[in-house]
Amino acid sequence: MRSETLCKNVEMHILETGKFKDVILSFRFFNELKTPDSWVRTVLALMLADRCEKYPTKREVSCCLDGLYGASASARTTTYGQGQILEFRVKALNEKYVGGDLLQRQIALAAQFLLHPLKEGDQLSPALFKEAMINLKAMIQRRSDNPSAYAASQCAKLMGQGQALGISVLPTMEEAEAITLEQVSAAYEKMIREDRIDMFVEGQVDAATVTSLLKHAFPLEDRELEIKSKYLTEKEQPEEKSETRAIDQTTLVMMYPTHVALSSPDYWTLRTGSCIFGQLPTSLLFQEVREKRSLCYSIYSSILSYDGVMSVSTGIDSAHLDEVKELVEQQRQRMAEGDFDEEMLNTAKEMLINSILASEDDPLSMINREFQNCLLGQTRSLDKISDEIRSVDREAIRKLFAAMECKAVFALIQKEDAHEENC
Amino acid sequence: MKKIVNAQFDETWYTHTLDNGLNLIFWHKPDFVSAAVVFATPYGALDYRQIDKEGNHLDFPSGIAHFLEHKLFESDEGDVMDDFSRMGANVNAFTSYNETCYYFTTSHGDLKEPLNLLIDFVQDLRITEESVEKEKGIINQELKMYLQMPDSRLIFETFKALYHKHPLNRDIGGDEKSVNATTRQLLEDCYKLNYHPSRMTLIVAGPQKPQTLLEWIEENQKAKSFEPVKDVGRYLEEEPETVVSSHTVIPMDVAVRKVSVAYKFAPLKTSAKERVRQEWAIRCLLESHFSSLNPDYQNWLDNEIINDYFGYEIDLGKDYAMMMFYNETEDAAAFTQFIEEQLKVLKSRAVDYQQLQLLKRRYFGEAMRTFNNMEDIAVAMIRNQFNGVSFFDTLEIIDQLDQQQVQEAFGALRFDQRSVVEISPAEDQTQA
Repeated sequence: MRSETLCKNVEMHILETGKFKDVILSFRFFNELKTPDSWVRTVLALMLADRCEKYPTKREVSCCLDGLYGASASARTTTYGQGQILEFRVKALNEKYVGGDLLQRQIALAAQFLLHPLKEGDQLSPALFKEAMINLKAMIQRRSDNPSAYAASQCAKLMGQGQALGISVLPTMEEAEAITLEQVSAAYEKMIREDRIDMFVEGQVDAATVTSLLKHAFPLEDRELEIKSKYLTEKEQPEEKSETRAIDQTTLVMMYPTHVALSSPDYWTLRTGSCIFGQLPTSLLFQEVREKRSLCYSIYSSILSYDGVMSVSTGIDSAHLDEVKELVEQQRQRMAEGDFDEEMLNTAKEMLINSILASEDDPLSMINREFQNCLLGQTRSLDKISDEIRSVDREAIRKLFAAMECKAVFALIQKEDAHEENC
Repeated sequence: MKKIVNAQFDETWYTHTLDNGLNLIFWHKPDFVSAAVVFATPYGALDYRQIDKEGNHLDFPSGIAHFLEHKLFESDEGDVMDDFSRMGANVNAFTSYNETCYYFTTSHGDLKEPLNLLIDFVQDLRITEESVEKEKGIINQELKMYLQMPDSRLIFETFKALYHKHPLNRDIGGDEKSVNATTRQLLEDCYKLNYHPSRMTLIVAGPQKPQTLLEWIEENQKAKSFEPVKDVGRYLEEEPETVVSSHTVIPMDVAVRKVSVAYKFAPLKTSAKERVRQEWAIRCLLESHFSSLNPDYQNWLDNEIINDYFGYEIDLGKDYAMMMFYNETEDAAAFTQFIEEQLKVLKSRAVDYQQLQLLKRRYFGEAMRTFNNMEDIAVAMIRNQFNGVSFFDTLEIIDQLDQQQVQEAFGALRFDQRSVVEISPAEDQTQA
């Protein structure tokens, strides 16, 4: 990867590869995660990729994108621990397949959307804002109607009270009502002037040409910002909450602080341990809860790397809720006692290395890995990561799991008669 | 082995059929690290009732294709998933309406061991009464998971409202009753009929040398013999022209009402290529009208007739044909009326030439992107193989579409069989 500083806290990164048929431009605006800014930025993302000054209608945007062979322009917000990014992405076909100046048009299009949004006076377009607010409310309701997404968000809220994990990029309906056009317009100006920006270009491009095009299209200025992303979620007292709904299945989410930061030497030990615990068909959770007892279809653990939290999720019958909670905790205890064989450890390492290597074939995973290196100020090559995974030992895993305690449990419980009602 | 090169897409692949009838496709991607291998049979959820050439019926419980998919992973030693994990390969499977696919992906260059394992486990069903019983609890939880998802429930209920007899009216996994009625014997009978190599296709998309892959697979297959298989096909009862229910309300514990307005058409009695041509012609017209390409689209959003969930599907299958519009709205009647009005407009509106050309560009770009991902390549090629129209033939069909073909394809549709389905916040009552 070639990187160049365009000005203070504005970096450009070029990943040259001929593997993919596309060229991807990804602009990542980084700032601190806090409310209500996190919600305001979600609205901004909804507005930013919809229309702009040069293409003021959806139809004009669609025609422009179709002219670029089904190019796409999209924006989204994502949390990175204590930070939040707003990513604007333009994906277009590599011009070598169809001829023409696609790359130049792609960069110009990104600049139009990002630097010349649709405005009315000093503010962003009120019509655009109105539509974005309707879409935001629909997103909130859809998350609420999706049992597993809802349960995960509620457990994160419980676990991360007063910390970054407890902050959602989606507000509640009441919080959404309070968002104003003035707030979103100010957030846009702040994002362009003050955010750290990482611009990624990935595909078969000529580095010198693309550098010159980007410098010309994005005349940006220095900015001051202290990057804070990874941190460790902590919680004193364990808490458990549940809600009841007329649904067909009970969704259970359990969270454990890991006490392991993303930059810690123990990070890959934790990831390997999580594979053994709940990420593979050979894992303790899968074997004990699904295979031996047929209590669920899906059960898995995952690591929220930037927040230092391990999460376990499953869908079960409400009658088995206590049994499954106990089984999950028993498996965590087995990990803490080193009750897993050498073959499981080796399998976990193989699978983890396999997934790391596979990320080389996925355009977005490649960008995400480089972005993580930028945020952490490190350069971790795939070989180095693979070596770290190979050197993970049982005792280190055991210690990490012994230090873990379940601090948040959320269950979205099915009403007893839910299934009959729905049939 | 036949080598095929598509210079425009910069893609190369090889095809071969073994003596036992197994179709092989090797999609060669030397720049990539990972490989995807898919082994598939054209036996899907719609095939649970079959008939042989003598007219003998072979009926299985609905969802049996999906049940088989679960059970094939079992071996005498336990579960083959564990073996794949040990090899650093991710294995999985899925059942759709028309096919069942078993696949693995791996970034380890040496493919021989997992490739042999995939072929061996798919070609050797080993189950016990006990393991079949145990699986029922897992599958029933899977079915419940989908039942509580409003999006998948809307689609499933729409099919149920449209079809009296056609197996589209059953969930891919069946239901609790059919799952519980499935036995070891039924699974074994079904397997024998539908997993013969002559019916199946194996595709490898990855950097490995095609000749080496062929040698490995030939070696594997030479060691096995397969009993001749009965020629069986999907059995379909005659489907009435009418829909089952013109209006269905499904109460769920949700905040947002989702509505589908679906139309049932008589299946097209034409060649597979002609069906594909007509489907894409209609899709182009629908996309030009029911998307942001239409200047009215913004008004529909602003007036909250539709929201960002709105979309449509057109599916002209081998033995069914339907079109579906879906939306989130509190007023299902107004949405239905809106769709009806717009379909009338479309009957007399020709697709704009420029728009058609832009759509062709879009679909070309989307097709090109398939080749960024090994799994996408493998699944797309398998589906095209079973459908009888190749990936590149489909692209040619799209490229050659003209305004008249679009108008004629749409003009041939009769919109008199309609079904409206609502997934409704729970206070409403079910009605037929």
